[in-house]
Formats: sequence, C-alpha cells, structure tokens
Amino acid sequence: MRADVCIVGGGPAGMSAALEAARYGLRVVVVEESMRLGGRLRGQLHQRRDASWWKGGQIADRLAAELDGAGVRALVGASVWDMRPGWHVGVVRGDHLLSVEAPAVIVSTGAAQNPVPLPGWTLPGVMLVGAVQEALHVHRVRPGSRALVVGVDPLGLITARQMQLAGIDVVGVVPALPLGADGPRLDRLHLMERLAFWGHMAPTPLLRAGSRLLRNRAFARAAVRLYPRNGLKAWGIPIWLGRAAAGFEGAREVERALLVELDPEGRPVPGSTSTVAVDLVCLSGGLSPLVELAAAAGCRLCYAPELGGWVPLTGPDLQTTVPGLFVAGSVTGVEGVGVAMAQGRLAAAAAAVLVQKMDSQGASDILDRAREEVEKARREADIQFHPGIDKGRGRIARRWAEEQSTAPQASETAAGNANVRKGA
Amino acid sequence: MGDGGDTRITAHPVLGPPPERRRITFSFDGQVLTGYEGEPVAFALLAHGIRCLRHGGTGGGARGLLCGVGHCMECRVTVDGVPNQRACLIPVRDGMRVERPDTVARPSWPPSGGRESEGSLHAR
Repeated sequence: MRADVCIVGGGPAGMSAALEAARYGLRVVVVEESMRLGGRLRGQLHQRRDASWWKGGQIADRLAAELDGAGVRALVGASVWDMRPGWHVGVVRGDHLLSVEAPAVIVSTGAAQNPVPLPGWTLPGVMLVGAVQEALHVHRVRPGSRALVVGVDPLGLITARQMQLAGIDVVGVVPALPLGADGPRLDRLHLMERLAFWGHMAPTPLLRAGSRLLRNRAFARAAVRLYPRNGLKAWGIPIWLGRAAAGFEGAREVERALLVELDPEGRPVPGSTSTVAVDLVCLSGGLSPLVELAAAAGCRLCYAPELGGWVPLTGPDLQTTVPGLFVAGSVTGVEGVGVAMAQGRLAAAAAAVLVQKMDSQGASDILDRAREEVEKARREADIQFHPGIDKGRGRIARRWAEEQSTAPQASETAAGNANVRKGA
Repeated sequence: MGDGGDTRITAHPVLGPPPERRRITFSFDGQVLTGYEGEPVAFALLAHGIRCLRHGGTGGGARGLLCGVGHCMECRVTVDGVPNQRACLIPVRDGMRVERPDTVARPSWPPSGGRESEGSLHAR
C-alpha cells in the first residue's frame, strides 16, 4: 500500500497529524492498534478552566468523521511490527500481513501507564487509571462500587472525580508507599507543593487559593503544621497526604487496601497500619512515553525525566535523528492533549515540507506557524503532568543543537535543513 | 439475563445516556452472557461483575484487567480456541466463545526437553 505519509498511532496526535497532512494534499495511512481511532482521547472527561466540559469521546468521533471525509485511510485493529528506512512499514492485521510504503512516517504511539507494584496489585479489581477511564467513558461500565485512588497526581485526581460522576463511592486519594529508598518523596510539604503546582486544574476553591499561597514557603511550612488530621477534600473526596497505600488484599478479588500513617517527613509510623474496605483500586503511577517503535527504527533517544523518561531526540519540527521519521504527542514527552494535537499538526507540516520538497521560504512560513501553535497549546494547557516541561524541552533542544553541530548528516530532511539555517 | 445489571451506566450527569448498540450473546467458560456488539470482551465481562480473567504468575493467583488499553497483557484470555487474546481490545461478537486459559501459560523454552518446556504458549 502506497502513501505519502504513514502515521503510527491513531490517538489525538495521530488523528490531528492525519487531518493536517490531508489538508496539505498528502495521501495518508493511519495504523491503529485498537478497533477505533481516538486512543486515550476517548477516555477523557474533565472540566476546563472556563468550566466547560472536555468530552474526549465526542471530539474523537468528530475527528474520525473529518478524517473519513478527508479521504484518510485508517487501518484499525492493526499493529506495526517492522519499520525500515525508505519507509517500509510492516503491519499485521488479524491474520494478514501488509506493508505501507511512504517517504515519511509519523510515530504517535503515545505513552504507557507506569505500574504501581504494591503487594496485591495483581488482584482483579486493582486497575490503572486508563482502564477505569475506558470503562466509565467509552464502554459505560462501572468497574466497582467503592474505590480508593492511589497516586496523588493530576490523573489520579481527575479519575477520582470521574468515578464520582459515574456514581462510584470514592473513599479517598492517597500516595503509594514507595517500595525502595529511591521512591518519590512523601513528605507533606513536597506533596502539598505538588498539589499547589497543579492547583490550576482547580478541584476546590481551597486548593485554588492554596495554589497561590503555597508558593510562599513560609506559608507552606505553616500549612504543613496546620494540615488537617483528616486531610484536604476535592469535590468532597478526601485527599490523604498523611497516609499511604501499602498493599491490597482479598480472596479472589480486591476486598480492602492497607494504609499506613505517615509522619510529616513522610516516614511510615510503625504499627499504624489500618484497612479500608474497597472493591476497586485505581492506580495512578504516571505515564512513560512509548518509544520502543521509534527506538527500533533507529531514532536517538534522550533521557528527560521532566517529560516522563526516555524520549526520541527531536528537532524543532519534531523530526528525529532518522531522516523522514517524525514523532508527535506523548511519545515526545507527556503533556496535555492540546499539545499532542498541535504537535500532530506540526509533524504533518514538517512531513509535507519533506514530501512536497517545499522551498525554504514556503517551509519556514508553515513551520513557524505550526511551532507557535504548539507553544500556545502549551501555555493554555488545562492539565500539566510534569512541573518541569520547559526544562525538559530545553534539554532536548540543547541536545539537538549539539547533535546538529557534530552530525550534520542527521538533518537531511528539508525541515531539518530549514531549521539549521535558522539556527534553531 | 440482562445486559450486566447495575454496573452499566445508563445515565451520566455529563455524558448523558450511552449510544444505542446492538445486543449480542457470547459465552464465558460455558456461561451464556449478553453484551453489546463491538465492546471489548473485558468490558462486556466487567458489566456482569466478572473481573477474574485468568490465573497466572507465581502462585497462580487471580488476574484481571489492569491497563485497559492493550499494553500490559494481564487480561489475556482464550477466544474461540485462540489463546492469549487481549480481552481489553478484542471486540465481542455474537456467538463468541471466551474462556479463562486453563493452564499457566509459559513460553516453551528451551525448545526441547527440560522442565521449563512443560506448558507452552499454546497450552490447550
């Protein structure tokens, strides 16, 4: 099967990339592992800063219809198992193998959820946030009736609210007790600062106010001292910063969670274990970019903890160190859906510059605009997953610049050349 | 026999009622169940309160849906005789036969002889 661009992964980044590529007149093939386009967009449901609801499923349906109208070919229920420069993309779909031949590939594989391996985490009824969101918003099923959320982070909090909306009794949100010495910090000041950082997603007026006040360190210390015994609440759901989940128990399925009390420095208090009866545990351990395919295709990777871990080394137009291979969305670093979609459009523009051999003036015009859109989406994001996005993006940009000065052959794409000339 | 009783969300304060879908019949370990055409097996089972999808790992403990999006392989079941199908991805169809794998699946390695070769990925 021939195309101008093959897009691997039909989530928000891949769908936006496909639509934009089609607007440039490119023939587009999208390969998607599940049976429908949409990816994690379909599970999303949250209130935006202006109080309107972001209904991921509806947006995915609309994008899918637009793709259909634009003549984009979507291979669903299909997985990529091979990618060779040129590009030859090996696809397996059921019992059939096929190959997509395209001069440009956009890898938009997204991110994987990190496990939270506390004792008992394999019991049925203990599941990751993604499974809960799919159940509630895509398949409209309640995965339990009484839930504990483990993970004090944006996804954990949002999922607590989503479960509550679906009629599930959410008993609380707690951090996970780290298994080793290098686990995340659980001291109360750190947890409160984390909460304050994404206070802009505004679960309660208290946290919104706290978000401003906690930036003052003296106030933060006082807040820790005065921290209420029963914790904070968001939408009436307790957020327990003074205890942590230590494990899960049950005969055939999860029946209870074990909690330990923490002192203000975040150390477990000996002999303080208690249990809470639940039939659902929702684990939120953060997201890691799904870079395997890009790595197998030969992209150089770069470690950026601020972006979720290892990410492909990318230039300003989301080109990788491999000519003709672009990346977009959470595979480049975990950010919000708006950034992922803008990145999809940028990668599509860069692919169009390459495939249509645009002159450097034409290329600069469209790439400058697409890059600005990514920055705008970043500024306006409803949810920031990591506090150090700018630091992480800066790290990637510096590494890319170093790479360009030592390995000029790595920038053979038109997009790459346009940027090298601009000194980006 | 309903479509899964009260675990189905029939009304949602933000999303409203679910879209109309065609009801189908499938079986899980011989038990006949209803589901909606196209929904993944794991969620059709979840709607009936069925969350143990196999036994596995050290100790053969109960395992179920974990990541829900096709990454972790925890939810693998046997579908129409084909083992190791991800229940969170594979769409349920009318007449589909879904079973819990009846052995702890292990790759057959080394290829011949040795205790490790007992049990295989195709353990039926």
